[in-house]
Amino acid sequence: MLLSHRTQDKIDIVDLSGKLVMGDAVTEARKKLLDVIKVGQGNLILNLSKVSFMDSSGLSVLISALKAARGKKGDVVLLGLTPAVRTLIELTRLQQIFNIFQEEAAALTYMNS
Amino acid sequence: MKKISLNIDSNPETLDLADECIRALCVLTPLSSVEVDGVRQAVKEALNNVIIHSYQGQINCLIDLIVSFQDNDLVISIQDTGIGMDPKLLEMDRSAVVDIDPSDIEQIPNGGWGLYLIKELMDGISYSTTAGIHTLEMKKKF
Repeated sequence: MLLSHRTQDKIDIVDLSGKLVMGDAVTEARKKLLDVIKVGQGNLILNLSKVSFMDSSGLSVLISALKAARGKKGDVVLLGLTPAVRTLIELTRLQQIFNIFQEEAAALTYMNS
Repeated sequence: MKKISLNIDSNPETLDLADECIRALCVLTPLSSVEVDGVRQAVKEALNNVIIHSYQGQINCLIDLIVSFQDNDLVISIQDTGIGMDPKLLEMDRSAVVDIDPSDIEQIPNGGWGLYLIKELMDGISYSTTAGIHTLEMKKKF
């Protein structure tokens, strides 16, 4: 699991790549995302376009990040879901709580609105 | 009946190997790529549950992964000798897990999605314990 963090217009953008699964990947991702939300404005675009696989541990990371962001009156949106991750999100009906975008520009527009 | 048994450690870092084996074995069935991904997801969730709950995070315990082809069923059994699982968990209505109120995200569980996913992705699931060996059996029709 690789993570990189950048900011644009005070919006945090975290790019994840690899497999977001139980073990070191989930531990590292959870810590990084919660740190970013804590330090930043609480508005996070999570780019999952290079996440090839996610298990329920990965889902828990997304939910933890969303709860932390909403606690700061912010939000977490998901960007660029791969088919496997989209299927997982839809099976668990989490599209009801996450806004999902395919283009970063659209996600930034939403976050800045 | 064709059957293969794999022995793996209860170490999350070794689960990739099991996943590759499952993927390769699924190629022998007419399952679609989406269905194969679902089987892989279900097996991953089941192995996670064994490691987290039955073996309580211990990484050097033994898990037997048995894959067989029975008529038109792909049957995957996962065996462990940890503390096991309450079989009543399989009978619970797991739809409550995804019965989400979007206006109240604090009520959304951070965990507990694994069994729900397994039941959604597979066509049959059972759990039994014999002589201290716990067996979760999952079936996928093809």
